[in-house]
Amino acid sequence: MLPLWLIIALPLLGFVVTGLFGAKMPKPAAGAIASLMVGAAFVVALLHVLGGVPEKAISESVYTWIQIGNFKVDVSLLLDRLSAVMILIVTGIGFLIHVYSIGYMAHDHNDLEGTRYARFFSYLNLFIAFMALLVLADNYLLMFVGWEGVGLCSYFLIGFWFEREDAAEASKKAFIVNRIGDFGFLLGMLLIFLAVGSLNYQEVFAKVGELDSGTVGALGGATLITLLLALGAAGKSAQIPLYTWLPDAMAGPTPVSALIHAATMVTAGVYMCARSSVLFEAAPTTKLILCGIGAATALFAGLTALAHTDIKKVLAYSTVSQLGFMFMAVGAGAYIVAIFHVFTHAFFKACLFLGAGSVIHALGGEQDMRKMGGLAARMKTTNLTFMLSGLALAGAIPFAGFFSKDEIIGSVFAAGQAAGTNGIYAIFGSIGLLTALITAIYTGRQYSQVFLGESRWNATQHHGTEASDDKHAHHSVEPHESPAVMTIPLIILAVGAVFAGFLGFPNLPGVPESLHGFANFLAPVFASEHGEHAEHKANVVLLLIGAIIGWGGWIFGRGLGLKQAESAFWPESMSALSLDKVYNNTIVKLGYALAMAVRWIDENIVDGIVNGVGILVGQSAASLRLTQTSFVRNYALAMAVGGAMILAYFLTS
Amino acid sequence: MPTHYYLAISAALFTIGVMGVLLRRNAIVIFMCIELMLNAANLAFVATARHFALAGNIDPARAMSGQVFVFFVMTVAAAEVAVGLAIIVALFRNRSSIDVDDVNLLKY
Amino acid sequence: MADLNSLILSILIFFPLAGAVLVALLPRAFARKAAFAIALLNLIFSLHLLQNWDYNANGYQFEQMLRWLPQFGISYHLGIDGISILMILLTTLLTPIVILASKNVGQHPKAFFACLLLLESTLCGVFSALDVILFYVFFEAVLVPIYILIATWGGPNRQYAAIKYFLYNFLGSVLMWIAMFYIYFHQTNAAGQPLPMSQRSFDLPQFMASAQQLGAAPVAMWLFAGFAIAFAAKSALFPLHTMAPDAYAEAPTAGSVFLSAVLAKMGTYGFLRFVLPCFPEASTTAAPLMITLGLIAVIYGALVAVMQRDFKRTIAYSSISHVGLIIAGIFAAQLASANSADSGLTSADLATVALSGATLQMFNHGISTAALFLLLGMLIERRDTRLIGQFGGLAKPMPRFAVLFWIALFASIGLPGLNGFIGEYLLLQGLASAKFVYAAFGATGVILGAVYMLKLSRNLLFGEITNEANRNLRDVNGMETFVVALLLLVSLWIGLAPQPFLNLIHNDAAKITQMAQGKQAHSTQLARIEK
Repeated sequence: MLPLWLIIALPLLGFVVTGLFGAKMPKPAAGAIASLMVGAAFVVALLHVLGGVPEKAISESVYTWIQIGNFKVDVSLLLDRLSAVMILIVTGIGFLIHVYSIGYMAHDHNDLEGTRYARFFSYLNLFIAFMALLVLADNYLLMFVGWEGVGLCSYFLIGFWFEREDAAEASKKAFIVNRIGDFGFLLGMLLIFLAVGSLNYQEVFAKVGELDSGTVGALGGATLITLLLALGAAGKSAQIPLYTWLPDAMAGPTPVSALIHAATMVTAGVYMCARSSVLFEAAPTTKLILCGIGAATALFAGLTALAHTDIKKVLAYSTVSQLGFMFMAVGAGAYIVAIFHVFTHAFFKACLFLGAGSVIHALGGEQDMRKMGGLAARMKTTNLTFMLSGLALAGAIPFAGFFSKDEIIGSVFAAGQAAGTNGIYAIFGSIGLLTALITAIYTGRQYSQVFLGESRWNATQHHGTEASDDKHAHHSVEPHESPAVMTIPLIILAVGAVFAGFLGFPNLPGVPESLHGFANFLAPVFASEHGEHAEHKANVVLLLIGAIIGWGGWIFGRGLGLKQAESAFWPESMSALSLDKVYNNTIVKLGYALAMAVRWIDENIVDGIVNGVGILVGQSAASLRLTQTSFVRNYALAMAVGGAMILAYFLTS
Repeated sequence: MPTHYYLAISAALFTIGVMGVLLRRNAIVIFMCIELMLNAANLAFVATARHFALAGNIDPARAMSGQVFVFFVMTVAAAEVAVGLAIIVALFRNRSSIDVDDVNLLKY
Repeated sequence: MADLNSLILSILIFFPLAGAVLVALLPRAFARKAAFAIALLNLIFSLHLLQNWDYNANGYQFEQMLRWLPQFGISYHLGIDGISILMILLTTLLTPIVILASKNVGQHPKAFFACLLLLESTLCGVFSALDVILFYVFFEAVLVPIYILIATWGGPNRQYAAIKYFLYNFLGSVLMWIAMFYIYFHQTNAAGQPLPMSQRSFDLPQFMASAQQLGAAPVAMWLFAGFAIAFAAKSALFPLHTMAPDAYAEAPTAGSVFLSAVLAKMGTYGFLRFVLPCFPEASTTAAPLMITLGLIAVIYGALVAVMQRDFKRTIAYSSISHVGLIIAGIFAAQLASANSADSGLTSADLATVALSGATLQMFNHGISTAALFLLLGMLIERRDTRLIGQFGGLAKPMPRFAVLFWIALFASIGLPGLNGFIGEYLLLQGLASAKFVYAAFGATGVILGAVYMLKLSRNLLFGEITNEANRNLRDVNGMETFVVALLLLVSLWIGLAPQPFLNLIHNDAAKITQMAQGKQAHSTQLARIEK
């Protein structure tokens, strides 16, 4: 069997090759090498999954990373069913997006020096390597390496067009906000280590009881630790209160938005929570909070999505909203369902983003949906794939999103029954239902606004300069279907968006085992804690409501999109609701004021004292120097007097 | 003659020398006063050397050391004269004066 | 090779010293080349230490002991352990790099390179002296070349900065001097009788033992303070830090590199080598204060760094922030306590983690901050300004510079996979084992570090080119890339596989823990018996 580390090493090799030599290669070559590496990593992962993982987890120690006496952290990898699902998503979807980028990035008008194409792919490869590390790590510290590593790649890729002010600001913001989350993750790790003496998953989970003992226990034990981890997850997965970076992150190239800010990196927080399910199960308070945060984020982001007319911004808020669903699932203890939604979401959201990229590409950089419309006839493949994955996002039966989202809402209600705190979980569940409706509305609306109705792009011959994210400034706007290298990934993803849901068919009477294979596949990972979730019976009423919401919302939204094609659902000012402005006006301003104050203190008080001492010495010296008259006789007199005094002392004593 | 006579003269000479250095402004005179102080010391050396030698309660060879010191002092004085006069000459060339109050660079 | 083993430290000290004289005598044109050759040879000599390192040794290695002033118990005693070897290697590694990078010195090139070699010589002395007086001599001697470097080749405000740096450190050291002599004059034998002059000694083991006998007496606190102030001033611990931004910013690039990478570490080294082992009880008593100061420095330094207009001052304040964390970690080791018996870790384990982290971070910070100062020096060379506002959009004309700068920057703010993270994590773990809230404050450095560094990166490298002078800036050339890349490779190495470095450190970190905590346990035991 091939070693696991190849999954990380292959994209890493791609990074090195394209990073060092890519600039000298012909353009498609760098893209091809990068794609090949990720494809190869996918194959390695797939071989593992087909070969051994169904039976037992594979763990592989690569080398000892840090060892100080009894403190030991290894670089070692773990492929169990959970990481298997994730790694297949990461490398599989990553591969498709790499391929898509070969076409998408070919005409980058910012790339005057001709080196950025290769640089783009080297960043992407590095991202895949870090993401694989994050997923495959078998201890928290190593996961943290991947965790921050993907943040780093995200920083570079958001800021890929670094001369643009919005990209420069967005990349900085993304990294800093993520760091606030990482602060929590880091502190959580410190506490785990302190309590358990290890960061290895197996060892930590085996001694989960220790978390509530000793000083760590006195501080809050498992509840505090999981809250800190959840802060980390909220940063990475763009949850309230740390979601503000994700919409801004759309300043990056669209494939980046698809790969990092929709399909993979942002789901890392969900993965981490699922991975730490044992800890979260020990902290019911955290779960409740997490569920609430998820519900609030889902609703809030969904409402905000309605207020935007930028095709990517809508998708970005939609991603935040869907991540909120995943957090609700985690909070409800339904980790399998959360991962299932990660899985389906990866397909349809990546497909939507890539489809949006295809549209933007075709319109020469236009991102404003008010200036689109009527593209269905011009871009048949893009239209079809966008519609199918849009239906999946809307949760229309029988597309993928329907199954996963419905499962989530169902498990939130179920969790309420199980915990005996029916009320509060029921509220979250209802919010979930409401959000599902909103999701369907804005998705349908977006679809019709972009693809249906009259074409409004003829009026806009502005060569894609103003407000355009991707500066593929074609000189005449004549929408055309994208090349095959871009549409084939779209088709594959759309197929996933249609069929991925069947892996998690609701557990209804008469439905064969194989149709909820996903839950059965993951069950062993979470078996020790809550195998009952695999057994959980689907709620038929909820399924019906979900089906009505999905299709109803979509159709309603579609109509809306046609009716108010020239505006957003809410006035644009609704996006002022965003925490962004609140943060800018409070924390950021306060922070800068504090920094200014501290600098003033430093320069005037702390350093002022130092300089004051210097001035004091100088001035006393200045007055003392007046005694130096320069007359030799005075000096001689002083000497004589001194001598006389010494003499007198000895004579008298 | 008793030793303290010599010592009294020595002290008187020394005091005159000190006063001269402190009160006079002419560099040559100051210089001569320094010589006066040196010679006062010489006188004290010789007188005490004789005193101890006559008293006989000390090794005569050690008693002689006072006299030997006088030669040292005279040598130093000669060197000092050479250097000092040179400085005074240089001073006179620069300032056309040997008044020490005109040379007040030794401050700040 | 036994002979060479006992001579090697002397060679490391006196070879560059002789080299400095040689450089001063050679014609001007050869100054840089000769200095580089000498520094390179010294680096190769220092690798001898690694090659012959005994990982299981219990005590100092490569010891050399010569009589110097035996009547006062002063000897020429050299020797190193895991704490000092990294510092020596850092010094010998940075010297040739800095010489390579100092291409345009301006006036008096011979004196410049002679000063650098002199600095190397004295620094090697500081890190290998095992006699307190000898240490003091080197500790003070370092000030001479660095003073000359700042005052002669520095920026516009160089005189002020140089004098400030000198006076700060000199005043601090005087307090240490007094404390040293107090201990010397109060050395006693086992029975508590004062030792005669002939048996007193400044030799570190004896000196340490006699300092430890003072126990928790009030005078021990004063002596602790004397040493601590000297070392805190050297490592720019809040509130004794204000000479650092001036000195680091005004010094020429070579001087800034040495100041922040090595000279600041003389202070933290002093804490590890003298303060903790000599005054275990006083260190424990003062630990909350020292940790608090360290943590204030972490946050304070970072906040001030955010607001700087001069990029060298930004890095200077970031140094203050990082070194604050190191000092907090060192003293956290005194308070480390295990969570519970079942965690499989003893308090000593956790203290060792903190001290190992501190030692490693001393090296790490040296590497990353050196790289940053070298890179910024290249900008100054091109534009002759240190104002951030003068730049912007440099990633376009200088892509290679941008990549190097990013790596150095992320190493500095502790991105996992690069060196800063390992040290920072271990330090935070140590702080957490002392008190969780310490770690929480220390970890805010993670956020604030990202704020000021990314702000710097954004203002220098991102955005449109606003100043025409930047449009055609020359990218870093091969040599410039080489010197920085070398440091960054070390940084990557430590980030991915720090074990070789930790192996060097671990034994001796454990030993300091033992000395500091063991003594403590011993004395509390005694106290209990007395009751």
